[in-house]
Amino acid sequence: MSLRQELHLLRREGLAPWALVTLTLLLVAAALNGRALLGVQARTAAALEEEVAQTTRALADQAGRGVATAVSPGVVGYSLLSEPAVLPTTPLGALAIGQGDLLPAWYPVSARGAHHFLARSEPENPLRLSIGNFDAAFVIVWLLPLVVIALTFNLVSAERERGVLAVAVATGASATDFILGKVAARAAIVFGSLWVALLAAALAGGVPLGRAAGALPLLLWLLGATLYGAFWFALALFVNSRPRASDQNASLLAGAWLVLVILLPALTNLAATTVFAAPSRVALTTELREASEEADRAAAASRDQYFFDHPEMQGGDMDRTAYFQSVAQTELSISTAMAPLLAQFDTQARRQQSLVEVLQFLSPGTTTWQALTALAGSDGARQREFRAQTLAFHERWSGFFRERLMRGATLTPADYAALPQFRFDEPSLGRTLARALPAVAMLLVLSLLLGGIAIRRLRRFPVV
Amino acid sequence: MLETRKLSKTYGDVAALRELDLVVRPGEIYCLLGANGAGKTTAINLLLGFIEPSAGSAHVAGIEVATDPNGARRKLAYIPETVMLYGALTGFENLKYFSELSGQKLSDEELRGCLSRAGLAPAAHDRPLKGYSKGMRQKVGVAIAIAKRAGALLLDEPTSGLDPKASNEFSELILALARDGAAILMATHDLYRAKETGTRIGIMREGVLRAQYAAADISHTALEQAYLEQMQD
Repeated sequence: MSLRQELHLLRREGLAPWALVTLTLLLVAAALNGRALLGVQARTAAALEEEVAQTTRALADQAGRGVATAVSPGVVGYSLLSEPAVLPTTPLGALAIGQGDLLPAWYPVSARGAHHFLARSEPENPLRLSIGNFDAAFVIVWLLPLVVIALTFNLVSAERERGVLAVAVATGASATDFILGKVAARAAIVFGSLWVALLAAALAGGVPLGRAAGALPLLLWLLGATLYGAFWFALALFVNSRPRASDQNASLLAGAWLVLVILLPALTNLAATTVFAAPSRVALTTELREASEEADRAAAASRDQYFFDHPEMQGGDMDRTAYFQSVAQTELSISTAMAPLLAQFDTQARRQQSLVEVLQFLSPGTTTWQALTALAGSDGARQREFRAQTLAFHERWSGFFRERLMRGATLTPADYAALPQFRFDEPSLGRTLARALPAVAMLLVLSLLLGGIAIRRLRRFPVV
Repeated sequence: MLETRKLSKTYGDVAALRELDLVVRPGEIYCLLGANGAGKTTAINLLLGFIEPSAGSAHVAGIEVATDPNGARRKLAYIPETVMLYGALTGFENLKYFSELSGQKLSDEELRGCLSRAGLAPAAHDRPLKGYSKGMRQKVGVAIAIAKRAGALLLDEPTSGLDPKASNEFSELILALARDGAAILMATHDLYRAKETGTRIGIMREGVLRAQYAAADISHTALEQAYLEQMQD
């Protein structure tokens, strides 16, 4: 079978340019959309960091001049200053937004309890597997199969229905070789278009192709996308290896797309959130309110005790240090009360994710999406890592102010220079690969299995 | 050479072909006559290896078809009732496609020579096939056979639906191929064409070869009379 002749035929039939242009336009548009979203996030984070840096410089200057509010660890830590913990963008972030637009890209960490900044985000961690963003991962997981189906649903049936298969096989070529030649030509067009389009999308999305940090994940991305496409080619060949009419093949493949790309991911999501349901938002709010009221009552009792112990202060303001020591105690009380409930959210989120990691193997669409978002750094695992690192940073940040507050120290310009800094420690490449490799292995095995069965069947395919 | 030995094909209780013994030698044109369902196309499909025999064997150039179907097919060419090639390609491109598929490596000049020899006007070589008449498509089918240098041809009602001129041109073509040494088996409903082009004529009914005649030994009228007699219960 001449690949050149088959490609020429596809070009004459108008399929090759159509596939190339469609895929390229979709992927580039998706990458530009992803880049725009990342741009908004990056600009917001940069503006926030700049604002905090200016505030810090001003406070340090005021502390040098002995301004009362600037030297008070209570005022600064619990009222004036918060440090943004920012999740940096990744080289391939524009290609797979993942949950990036749902979950926070930064947390405003202050000395107050962690619930203050955690509560501003969606704590249920919705594991939204039904892909909603128009990004390159969406185009690959949802739309690439449709392109493959459009090019292959009548691969054998149309040749048989038109009578071309009989003429072709009568030349002495085996039906298997003839059909595989057609598959190879279509695969060359789809994968050629995909690679060209993804490179264009990577450039449009600002992926640093000259750096290993950008080039290596992109290569793995290409591998994942190619194997996913190969799976759909193998499935189409498998469906075509039975002598059915073209419309039946189209229905079967469209049904497979519906089940594998839409229904199973949705059911996986539903199963995870139903089996390991997180406490409701109402419960969280109620618990927070009760914990706050309880802590406030304790703080009021503490203040009463203060004025009882210091009758000379009756009718005046409470000492600033003592007041903020009381606030710190209140925050600790609330945090202690909230900890079990927040831990429950974390536990349920971890369980949900564990279940999703098992159920993902029901759908090649889910596994591929998981792999692509993992490689792009926009999956739930990196987000959870960010949250964990932010909580650890919160301990250092609040400890910095609480320790000075409790021993009655004042802040100096040197203290401002020594303020803890948040720097996200990226998960290792090995961990990222470990999350992507199951999908690669599954797609490879499924493609080989379906393709192998199809080839065996084609050997006995009825020509007439 | 084409040969069948006690070749039979049954579908359940229905016998589509019963113990067909047939030999078509190089240079011969054997015309199989018969009504629809007589077994003509079944015989051709068995010789092509498209279906497996229930009993007996089919041979092409000495190769048993059931044992080595691809090897047998490499020795023959097949022209169905309507040659359905790729409408988006030109006649020349179709010939190139199918001759490369058969493993032939011919230059563009040689391919155009095949088309011209099959009677396709040079002006039509580079026009898309979807604009071709049925007769022109059949000529491309013949060109594929010429390019393949096939020693045997299987034709399944190739002149059905052709106008008399095109039908006559087609007959001239296969006569030329037979003169070059091809063994040709042609299934047809056309008694006149069978008498004019055939070397031998067989009449089939209900899967059985009922009668055989040398074309030179029978007149048009006698052939028609014999055919009608065989069709009667």
